[in-house]
Amino acid sequence: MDIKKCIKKIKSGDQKAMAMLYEKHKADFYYTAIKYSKTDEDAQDIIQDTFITIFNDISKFRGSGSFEGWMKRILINKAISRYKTQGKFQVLFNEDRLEEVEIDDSRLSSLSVDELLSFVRQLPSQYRLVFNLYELDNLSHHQISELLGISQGTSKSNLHRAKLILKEKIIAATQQDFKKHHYGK
Amino acid sequence: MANNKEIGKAIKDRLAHNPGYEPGPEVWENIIAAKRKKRRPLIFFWLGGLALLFLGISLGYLGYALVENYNVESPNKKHDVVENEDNSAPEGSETYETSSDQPQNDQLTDHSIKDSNAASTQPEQSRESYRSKNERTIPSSMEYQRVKNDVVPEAQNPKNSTTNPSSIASREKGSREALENGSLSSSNALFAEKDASLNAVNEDVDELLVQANDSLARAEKLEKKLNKELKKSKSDSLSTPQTEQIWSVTVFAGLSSFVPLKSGNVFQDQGSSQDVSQSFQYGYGATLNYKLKNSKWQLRFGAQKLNITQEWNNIPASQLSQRNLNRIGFGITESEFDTLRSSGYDTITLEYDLIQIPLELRYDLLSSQVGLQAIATMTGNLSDQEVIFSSDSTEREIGSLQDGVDFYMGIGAGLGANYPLIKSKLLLNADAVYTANIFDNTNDDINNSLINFRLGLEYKF
Repeated sequence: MDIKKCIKKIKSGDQKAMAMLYEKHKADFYYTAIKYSKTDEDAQDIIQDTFITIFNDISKFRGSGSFEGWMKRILINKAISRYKTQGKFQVLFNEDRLEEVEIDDSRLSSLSVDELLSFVRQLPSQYRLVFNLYELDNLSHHQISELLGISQGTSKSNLHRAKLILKEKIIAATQQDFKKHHYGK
Repeated sequence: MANNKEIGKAIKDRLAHNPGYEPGPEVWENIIAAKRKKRRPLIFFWLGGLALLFLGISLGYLGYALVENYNVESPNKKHDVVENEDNSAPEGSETYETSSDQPQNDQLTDHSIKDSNAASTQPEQSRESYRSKNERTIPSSMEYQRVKNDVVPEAQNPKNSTTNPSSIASREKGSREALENGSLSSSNALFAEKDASLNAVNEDVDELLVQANDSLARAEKLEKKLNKELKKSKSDSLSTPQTEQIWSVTVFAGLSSFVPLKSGNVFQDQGSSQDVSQSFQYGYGATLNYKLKNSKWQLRFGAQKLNITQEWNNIPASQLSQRNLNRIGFGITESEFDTLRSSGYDTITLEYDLIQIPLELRYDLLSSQVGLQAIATMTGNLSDQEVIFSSDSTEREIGSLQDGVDFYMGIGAGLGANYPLIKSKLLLNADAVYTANIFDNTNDDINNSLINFRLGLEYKF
């Protein structure tokens, strides 16, 4: 079904059209929600809230941008709202540890997507949000600072710390395999 | 040599494609449940609006009927009102003229003061107005003035003693007799005679005054009566002839079912042999009815709540495909279908909670004691539908789908009969009405055609 027809039908309350839209986007949205959330339950809540808002507010979509982009923004806002309602928390971190955040690509290749995803989800909430927004969804630090209500400096710092944590986890996970691979032990 | 890469970009590349994550089926159920919760208040809003409309019409009619009954049953009260209006509206009304027609002070006669008892029975202003308008009291006033002038002692009225020749003659005659008789007693006797004559005249004047006031009161009554007749004739000529309206209320209950037409066999084109069950179920409602007396047409407006079920049993497994189910409008998703298929269901039940808002036009076919009417109806339908999948073999209900509210229109036709029970105020109604769905914006495959049998009581106001 054409997306314009689908939107029109959803506006008139057609459940078949709603189901169709949900079927088309549920996997992608859920995958994105997983990256933003700590648990599967949180991810399901996010996607659920997202689609309820999409169906309720679809009349607000004016057609100026892409419909997928509009839906994606709702999804990200829901993820951020969830983070805000849970309350921010401080993460103790050694400010002197300014290290390189590059990693050997072969280490990453040795990890499965599920493992890598679990490392992202284990990040502290604010780091996870900043990392996802900046690296995976291509938002600028300026946009992130406005969305999360933090300074751009904090955003940059959070991103750097997120990357360091991820690097540590990846290195720890791949240490054994890496030794085997490079030293033949 | 290590191939270093910025970690953010590296992770992004690795996480670019979904390895197969999908939300559970409960997510969609929760979304639909949330949508349903949001939509239900809208229905209650409309139902509330309809209820208020009914209440408003009923109260309006009740007020109208009360006023009509009061006027019809108490004509004297109406006349009383007219009389009061006449008395309270002296200025500018047709009954009484304006102050320019008020009698002048010199027209006021003493009898109005002397005979206060008689005068007090009528409003002063009315009497005077009447007098000034009709001039009927002038002769009696003039007569009184003449008699008074005649009888008032000359000593009390020096002007009269010089201007009335008969008085002068009488006085000269008396003086002469007194001089001739030379006695004071004769003079006293003359005064006594005059006094008696004066008393007699006074009595005559009083009697005339009483008669005049009686005439005045009778004339005023007559005038009021004439004014009333005039007003009545004017209002009658201005108003359109009134036709009696008959309002009534019908409360009914009955049985309803889908008509097994298009929806009778959902997989018919594939040679399905499943058993279709469309049992009659209980419903109820009420209408407000309007009719003109001696007219053959009656208009009814109301609401009725119906519960309707359609059930397909023993559906062959080969036909239980997602495509088939969605073709008949169930909107089942792939994951839902997988869940249901794995449960081995072979029965689908479609349940409708239906609120019909009919606007009915009835035409009397018979004018005998037992009435027979042809019915044409247009209905607004609010339908809350639910699909239940179940398995006969295990007698287990597997789950429900697609609970949603739709609105669509229907048109219908039928026959109705009525029989008067108590003084033609209470009637027994029996109707059979078929309603066809003419517009359904959500489901093109299921024809929600209905047949209603209902029995009701109609009460005429």
